[in-house]
Amino acid sequence: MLAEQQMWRYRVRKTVTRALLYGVLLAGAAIMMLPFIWMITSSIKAPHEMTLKTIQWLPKVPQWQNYKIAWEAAPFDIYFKNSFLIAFTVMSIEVIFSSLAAYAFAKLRFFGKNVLFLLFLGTMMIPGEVMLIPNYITMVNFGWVDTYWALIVPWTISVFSIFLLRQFFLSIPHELFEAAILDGCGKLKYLVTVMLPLSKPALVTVMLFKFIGSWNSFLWVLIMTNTPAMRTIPVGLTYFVSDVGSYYNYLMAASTFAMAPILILFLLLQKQFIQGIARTGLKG
Amino acid sequence: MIKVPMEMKTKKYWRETAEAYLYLLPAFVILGMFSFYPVIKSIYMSFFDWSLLRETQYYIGFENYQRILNDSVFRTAIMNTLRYVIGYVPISISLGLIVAVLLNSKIRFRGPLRVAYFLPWVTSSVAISMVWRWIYNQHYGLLNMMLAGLANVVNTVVEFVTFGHFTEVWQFTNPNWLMEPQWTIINIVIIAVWQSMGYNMIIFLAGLQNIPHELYEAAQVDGASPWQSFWKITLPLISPTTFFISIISIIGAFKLFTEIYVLYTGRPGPVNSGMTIVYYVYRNAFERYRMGYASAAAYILFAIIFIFTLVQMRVSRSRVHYGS
Amino acid sequence: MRSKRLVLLTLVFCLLLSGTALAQTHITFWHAMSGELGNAIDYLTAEFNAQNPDIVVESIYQGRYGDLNTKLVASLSAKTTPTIAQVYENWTDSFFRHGVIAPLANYMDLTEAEFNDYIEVFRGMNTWDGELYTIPYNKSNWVMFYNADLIPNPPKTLDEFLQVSKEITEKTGGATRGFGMRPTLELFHAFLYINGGDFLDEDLNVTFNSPEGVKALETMIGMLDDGSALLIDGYENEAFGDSMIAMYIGSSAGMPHVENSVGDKFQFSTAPIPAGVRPGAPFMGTNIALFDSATEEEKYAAGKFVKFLTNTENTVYFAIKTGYLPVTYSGLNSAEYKQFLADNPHKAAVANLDAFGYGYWQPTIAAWEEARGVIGQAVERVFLGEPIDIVLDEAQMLVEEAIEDMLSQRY
Repeated sequence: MLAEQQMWRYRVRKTVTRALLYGVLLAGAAIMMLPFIWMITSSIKAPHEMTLKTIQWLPKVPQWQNYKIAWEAAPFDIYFKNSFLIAFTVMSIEVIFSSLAAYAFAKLRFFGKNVLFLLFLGTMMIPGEVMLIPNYITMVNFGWVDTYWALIVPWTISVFSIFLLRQFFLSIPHELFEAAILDGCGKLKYLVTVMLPLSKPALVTVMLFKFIGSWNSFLWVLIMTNTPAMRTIPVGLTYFVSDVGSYYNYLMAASTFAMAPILILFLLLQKQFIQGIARTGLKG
Repeated sequence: MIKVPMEMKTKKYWRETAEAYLYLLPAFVILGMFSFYPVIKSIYMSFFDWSLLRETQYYIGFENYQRILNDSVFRTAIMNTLRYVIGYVPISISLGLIVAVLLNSKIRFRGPLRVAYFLPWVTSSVAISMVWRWIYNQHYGLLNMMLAGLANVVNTVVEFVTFGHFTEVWQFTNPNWLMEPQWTIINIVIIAVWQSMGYNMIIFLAGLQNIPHELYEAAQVDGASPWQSFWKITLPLISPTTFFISIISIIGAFKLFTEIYVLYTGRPGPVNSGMTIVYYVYRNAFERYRMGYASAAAYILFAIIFIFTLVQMRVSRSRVHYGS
Repeated sequence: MRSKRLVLLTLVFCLLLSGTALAQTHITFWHAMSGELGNAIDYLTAEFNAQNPDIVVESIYQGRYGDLNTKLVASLSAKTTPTIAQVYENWTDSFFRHGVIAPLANYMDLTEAEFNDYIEVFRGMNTWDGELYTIPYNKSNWVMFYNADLIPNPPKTLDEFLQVSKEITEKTGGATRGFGMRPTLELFHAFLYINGGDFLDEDLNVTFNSPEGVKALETMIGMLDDGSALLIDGYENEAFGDSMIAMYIGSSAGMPHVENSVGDKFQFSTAPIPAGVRPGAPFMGTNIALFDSATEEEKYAAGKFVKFLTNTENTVYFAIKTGYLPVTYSGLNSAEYKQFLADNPHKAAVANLDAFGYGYWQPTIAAWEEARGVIGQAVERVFLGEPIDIVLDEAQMLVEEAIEDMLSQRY
């Protein structure tokens, strides 16, 4: 009798907690998605339906041609090609360079390690605004203005990624490293065969953020290039915005197709965050 | 910190140093050209009356620094920035962690929920600023609509419970969120927290994958509640990630600029209430062409962040657990 | 016969070859015009290139005005400037003070008649040191947009305007306010000017801290207090399209956006800004500047191009396509443009000929970038309820400081 009552109480408590949990998570998700949904529905509205006074979520007649108009308003085919090329290249090279640097900081003992790490971190503390013009002058001197070099090379290393990967490498047991080295495993081989596979979630995170960062980069691309042939999607998005007003419906249509690839990438990558696969078989 | 104990300066140590520098070579080359060099150049410029439009520049020693520190607008910028850092960083990190832990457990709709929480990070910033401008709108905004409704309910309940002794306890005044300066930083904190939650969630999720599942199973066998597991297992073992996020968040928060520029359409909020240090740098560099002055302001910011980071590293030294 | 033809052909061929090899002058034009504006520029550029085989003009969109400014600053410091670019007057002033631009009009081979054909107000905005340094390009003015369903006859004087605003609010029970405003420098300028005041006098003395300035602010605040005006925190045209307000004062360049947000919800039209003690029509917009780093050859080629862009036919083409104003009297008076206005009566006030007689503009000095921030904030503070006299005193001090800094050439 008593046990039954306890069981029942436990069940009620569990159900209530669950319900609360789902309630909070779903309400949160709804708030998170609000602008996204607004962006999608606005992308098929007529211009005068863009009002926010009595918010109108759905258009009376879906204006699918907005997408066509937006696509043709700027050379988006070129921009997409460039964005893909740049984001993909930057992401691929950067993950290699950053892994190497992070490995050094995490596992090797060397002269000046802490000072160097602080120095690296220090570069994040300077606003990019003051580095833009000196960097532009450097690019002019290199003859890199209006080339892919200017859009790719400076972004193939990021302190953010080095730092993140360092944290992950650090939490992989050091005894493992020492044992492997004693067994005659080369340091580079250890990185490739042990460290990287164990840090898959971190690598995925770094790659995802790098891709998104490169995909959305605007001011750098604008300053370092002079011709439409070298430019990327964010430059195209400015076509719909002006000082006296904006063509919101076209802008939202363009924003939607601009963010689609990132969303797909995220959907593909988020499967990598699945509990347990990374560390099973390894003692903590 | 470079002090090396004598016994460590062995051949092996120097060989390892050489190898480490080899791994760091790409980073050295790229950062050297595109970070260290411009940093040194702009430190140099900060001692000049350096105009971007002029051929000759004038050396003026510390005058830029003096002028900036005496400028009341800069002091406003520091205060606004600090208020933002204090408001944003703790909330953003803790919410990110909570969401990550919840969405790491075996619950239904885990995938779609993760996508939903990540969406603000990738949604067009114009769409975001427009929807938030609507939310904050005085007359038609969601926020005032909800607050007015809430005030109504509270007032009715209080009136009923106190048999009409207390009426109108909550005098709802319909604040104009975007035009009254006292709300500016709060508005930005709310939007930034909302937007960064998914971002922090992803990093925490990655960190959570590093915690061996057996630990939780063992704890469960020992009769630990999920709450206890969180404090005793998750929190200590996720500390390297938490450390990372807090350093990065503080650095990022001190550099607040774009969020204000976008929400307030290219103005530093009403009556400079959204003037931040980086806004100040931007304004001097690109609207007034005073590069030396802007650089000096940037280095004052650098000094502030640097001190914060050092303190943070010192404080967290004993609290971050790396593996074994 | 045949050999003669052959010789002739060879000659022509050689001439053509040497012509292309020798004399092609390359010039670049950086601008911030996208959409319809960008298309119009691309079209005109292609026309010009076709007509002038010895010149190749490249017109390149460089982002919005703020982005264009950043690009120009970067290119000036790296000495990679374009030949010509779209500029605002206060940028011009900075560039002029640092000697990085050349007087464009001198390279355009203008007859006196052609020179005088540029509308006087625009010439005034583009003159430095007595010379026409930059050429007006996409110029707009501020007019009053009004809901013609609610207001059949737009108010002509300030008193009528105040009256109508109040009536609309009363009539609609506050659902639609008479007037919509934001605490901006431009709106303050409009009320200040029709009260007989202005920001600065010719010797750069501050004049907005005056009875006229106080009165202008009091009028604006008064309209908010009695409910005849609504405080807006977005673009006015959106509130206007939503019938939250029945009138607002704004840039004619926003016309396509007003048309978009109004749709077919109601009829709207434009009228000159109501007159106070004097009428006033504020003009703004950008001009084209020539950078001094160009070679003489490039400068003359650029002059030729700008002359082409602003000739009667093309200024009218651009105005009709974009809603900006023609920059010459001949353009304004052309049959084509008059026809366009007749077909679009809601735009008539935009090109109101009288307005050019009492046109005014914001100070065209480098320090204005800073000063406008200061004055804009002063207006915001007044709207938040701070005492007008104290706010204006402080603003005067800060503006004087900025001008002093500018004149000292330091900072």
